[in-house]
This record gives sequence, C-alpha cells and structure tokens, in this order.
Amino acid sequence: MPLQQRFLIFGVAVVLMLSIFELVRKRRLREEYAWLWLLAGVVILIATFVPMEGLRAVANIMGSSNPPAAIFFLGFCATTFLCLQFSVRLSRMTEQIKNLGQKVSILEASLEDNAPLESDRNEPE
Amino acid sequence: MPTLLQSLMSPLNAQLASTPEAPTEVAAAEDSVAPTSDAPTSEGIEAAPTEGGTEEDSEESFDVESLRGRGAVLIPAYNEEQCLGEVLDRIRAHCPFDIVIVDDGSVDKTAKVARAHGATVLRHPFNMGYGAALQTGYKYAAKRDYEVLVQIDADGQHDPTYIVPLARRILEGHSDACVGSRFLIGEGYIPPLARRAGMVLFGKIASIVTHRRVTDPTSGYQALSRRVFTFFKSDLFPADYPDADVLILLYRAGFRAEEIPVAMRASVTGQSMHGGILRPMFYVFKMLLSICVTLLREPPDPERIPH
Repeated sequence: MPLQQRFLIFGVAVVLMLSIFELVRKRRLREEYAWLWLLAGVVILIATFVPMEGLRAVANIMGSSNPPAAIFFLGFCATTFLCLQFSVRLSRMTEQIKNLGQKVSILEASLEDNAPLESDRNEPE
Repeated sequence: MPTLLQSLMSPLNAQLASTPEAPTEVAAAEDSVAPTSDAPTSEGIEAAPTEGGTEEDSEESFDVESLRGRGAVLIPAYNEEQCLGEVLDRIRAHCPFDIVIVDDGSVDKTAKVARAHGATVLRHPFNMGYGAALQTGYKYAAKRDYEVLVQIDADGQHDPTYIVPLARRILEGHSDACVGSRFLIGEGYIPPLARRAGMVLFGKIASIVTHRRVTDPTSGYQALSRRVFTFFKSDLFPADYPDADVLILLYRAGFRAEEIPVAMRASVTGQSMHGGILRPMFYVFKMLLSICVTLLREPPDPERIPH
C-alpha cells in the first residue's frame, strides 16, 4: 500500500477522533454513544499500521483475492451493525416518548379536573 | 396483479360462510349475505347474539340508566372538529356512559369542541398515532376503574346505537372483548377494493389462529372489559394501527373475543388511515410481520405484564 494512502487514512482517523472528543466536550454527543465512534476511529488508526502482508492474510481467510475489497466489506459490516444498533435505541426511545406523552395527557386532564385554569392555553384557536 | 387481487377478493363472501369455526347462532344473522353454515360451535367460543338490533329487542326489559358510571366511551380523534360535536350528541342520546376523547395532537379545535360537549379530553402533546391514542384511553380507563370501555371512531362512521349492546356483552360476562363487525349484517358501507383485500386476508389469518370466525379485523368499534384494557396498557399493544394482530394477541393471552353485527357507513371526512398506494402496502407488510412475531413470542400472561 503506498505511503500516501496510509497518510490519508491516518489523517481521516485523527480528524474523526478529534471531532468526537470535541462533540463530547461541547456536550453535543453523549459519552455512551461516543465510545462506539471512538472504537471505530481506533480501528482505522490501527489499520493504518498493518503491513500489506497482514491485510493479504485477512483477505485470504475470507477467501478474497482482493485485500481492499475484503477490508471494505468488513467496514460495511461494522457500519450496518452500528445502524441496526441505532434503530434499536430509536425504537426504545419512541416507546418511552409515547409512554411519557400518554402520561402527560392523563396528568393534564386530572389537573384540569381539579383546577380549571386557562385550560385552552396550548390549543390552537 | 389483477388476478391476485381478484383471488383475494372473491373469498370475501365465501369466507363469510365457509369458515368451519363459525358459531351456528351467528349464521342466522347473515342469511342475506351467505348460506347458513351448520358447523358445530367450537368449544369455549362464545356465540354472538343473532339479531342486528339487540337494543330494540330487549330495550323494554333493560334499563339503560343502570349503566351510568360503569363504563366509558373512548373516542380517539385527530383533526375531527367538523363531525365531533354531532357524534358526541348522538352518543349522549344513546348511552349514559362518560365520554373520553383522546385528542392525538390535533391542529384544529377538536379538544375545544369535545370540552364544549362535556367530554373528558386527554390531549396528546404531539401526534402519536391511532393505537397510541387508544392506549392513552386504556390507561386512563384503568385509572378510573371503569368496568367496560367502548371505543368508537370520531368521524361518525359508527352508529352509536350499538354502544349499549356492545357494552352489555361485556358487562353480562359473555366475552372479554366484543367487536362490532360491519360484515355480519350484509348491508351498508362496503370499503374500497384494496382495503377489502387486506380485511379478507387478515380476517382469514385471524380466524385460523384464533379458532373463531373473524369477519372484520379492522373494526375500531369494540367493547373491552377492564381486564382487557388493563392488559393493553402494556407495550405489547401496537402504537400505529391495531388490527388482526391484536385479536391474535388477545387470543394468545387467553381472553375470549367475539363479534356482533353493527351498522357502519363510509367516513364522512373520508380521511382514511390506509389511503394512497404505499401506505396499504406498508400496512400489509407490517401486519404480516406483527402477526408473525406475536405468534413467535411466548403467550403473554395478563397478570404479569409490566406496565
């Protein structure tokens, strides 16, 4: 693999990890999600230093004669897994938000029963 | 494709008659629709009342006022300000139940109209879907400890004269869930072709799984016992559109469900949940998946569901 390519990948990995740190620092990304992305960054960093023979060996194990394609496939698998993971979390949150919304409506109704204030405040006119 | 649709369509009438689990008592009610099936009534399956107008026949001997405070009418509503007032008045005229509206994040005056007509309004902070709206009602009803909950659509599609007959099936212990079916009378509103295909398909699946005849799995006109709506507080209840999968869920949880004939007409506002081309396709896919996973799960125990 040409040195130029290794530099490029190394650069991408470094930028990725710095961005993650920055997002966590600004509290725009929660730590519990950051670790997955940091892991991805570390894997890319390590991949930069694996000699070509190593990549070939991995490709051979997978039955591929083309190391870049094999690596690409592994990356694709990892990304798919990540997306699935997010869908799972999204489903859980949807459920939680639904339950919260229902609770709010019921609580609101019981409040209005006790003290009919400006009950129509948040309703469109 | 047309042939596939036709083959799905043609069993509509045939299905009404041919399902072997059909209780004989029901068959009399739809003589106009299909020939009588004389298959024996399955064990443990409740037979539906035979007459279309249960109310008229037993009105003299039954005091509707005795139902006051025992139940509630649940109406999920989304942007229904046009018909809601009239629907509420008609419901009031036919039953003494409390009326609970779940306003699913409407952007019109649905909540205001409902309050003006003396209904309790549970207002969602944002739109969450038909199933979620129903479930909010179940949670509220469980809190208020009603004995029976009759759910009915806000668009005037359902004739409110059947509220009391539906509720009585529950209160008198005939079943845990009583569904009003528009196909047992054999007249009135016939839904569009594509919709009917879904109904036939899922009605058939539900019939096979639950060992009883299901003619109208999409009907939102139902009466539920306290045990059932308490069970539906669980996250097992679908938030989008409950359908045949809920009937199967009920069966798997050991509840007794039945159908009685009701009259329905086409929605006045015409805003169906299943309009368009993509949505019906997604609906079919979602329902098949939902039925599959419901069958693959352990049968739920209504007493041990975390809420």
